[in-house]
Amino acid sequence: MLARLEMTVNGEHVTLDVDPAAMLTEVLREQLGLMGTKIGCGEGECGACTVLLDGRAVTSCLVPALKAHEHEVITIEGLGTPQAPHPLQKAFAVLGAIQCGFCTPGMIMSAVGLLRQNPRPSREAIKMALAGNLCRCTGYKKIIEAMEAAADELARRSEAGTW
Amino acid sequence: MPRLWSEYLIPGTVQEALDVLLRYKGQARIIAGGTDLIIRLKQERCSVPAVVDVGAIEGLKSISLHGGEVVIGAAVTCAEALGSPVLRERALHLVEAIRALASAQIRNLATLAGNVVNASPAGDTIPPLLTLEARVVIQGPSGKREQGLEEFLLGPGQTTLAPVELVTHLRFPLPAPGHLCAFEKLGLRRAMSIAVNNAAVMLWFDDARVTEARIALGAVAPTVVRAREAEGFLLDSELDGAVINQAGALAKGATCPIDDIRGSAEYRAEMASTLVRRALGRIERERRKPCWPGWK
Repeated sequence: MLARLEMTVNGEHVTLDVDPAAMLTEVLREQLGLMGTKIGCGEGECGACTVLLDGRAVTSCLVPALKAHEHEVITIEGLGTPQAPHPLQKAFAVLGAIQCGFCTPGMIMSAVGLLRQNPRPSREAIKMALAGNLCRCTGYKKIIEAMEAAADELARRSEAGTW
Repeated sequence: MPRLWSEYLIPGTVQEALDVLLRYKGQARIIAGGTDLIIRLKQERCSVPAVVDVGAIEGLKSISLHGGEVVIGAAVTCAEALGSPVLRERALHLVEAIRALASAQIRNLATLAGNVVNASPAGDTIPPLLTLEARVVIQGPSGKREQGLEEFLLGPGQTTLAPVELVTHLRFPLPAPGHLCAFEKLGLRRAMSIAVNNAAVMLWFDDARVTEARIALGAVAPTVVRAREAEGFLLDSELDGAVINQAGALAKGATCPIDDIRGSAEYRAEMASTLVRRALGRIERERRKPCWPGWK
């Protein structure tokens, strides 16, 4: 028996019939083709599946898809495009915060979740916000630096009224 | 992997939720944040006929003050609780415990009530809730009942909650001004770790003299426990080094820990004492600050 799921994904209203036991990660990847959200551990430890649910970062492998019914989801695909990347995406690429790239979408979605609540986070606040995202390549230093750079850029745009 | 559940139900009211639980004769499971339940179902490779999501029940989504009591709805997430002014002002150790729990993503999903019902001996929010003398409000087919948190917890993963019952709220008396409190945790990492040990301490003072003491220890017994001997010892004392050491030593007496992958029983008993001493030391340093008492 399938269940009806209506939600907003990256600004678009979608209606789907889903397995009631499906997790949000599976629906995003397999039914909507949004492959940016990664499946790592499948138990909320690694953060590779992080998306925003009503503006807050959550591990979508632990969110039953139907929990998103009538709610708003934003994935990495909803942030920017290759032509016009989000400042976080640009900072990660330019500052060497990406190596294999598998953790990157989750890292960036956690970062977006933090910056929505705290536009000028301290280094400690950044570390706390990223504690649920594992990276096995970078050693985190460049990720934190990229987040700081992106926060500065967003603040600069916000002051200039161009964001 | 079997499907975790066949039906996902989202009732709008407590009554609807209770009706569903009855209809499934106790075979349905309640899901709030789901961060413990989903992992457990996956690990046990088991399947339940239905889960009942209580996240959309309007009356369960807020923290309120009612007749001198703080009332926390069962659908309030850890992240929402972190933003609560009343908890920040009057139950700082609970806020510290929530900050020490899991990750930002998990705190955005997981609920305080879920941490209580999960009944892990290492659950981070349970020690502060025990020192707040929290009570669990439960609705069932025969009406409402209430139980002290200490009595509600029976053992690892075990509570007095029947399969057809639903926890609707946690509540505790708004702590009187003039108290200081602290939460301490020892984990194998600074984040995303299950506590090797945790502890919460809450003290009331008349100047430097302790007028009431509450100490709760996690991960050292089948349930989180109060260290009543240490509490009694602290009454009417002033917190100098010797008193703090003695209270720590007495707290150790309240423990009956086990060996597991996170630590040995012997180490845990020692660390229970250490965490109590740390908390007491932090509280005394806070009390000596010129700005305290800061209660208007």
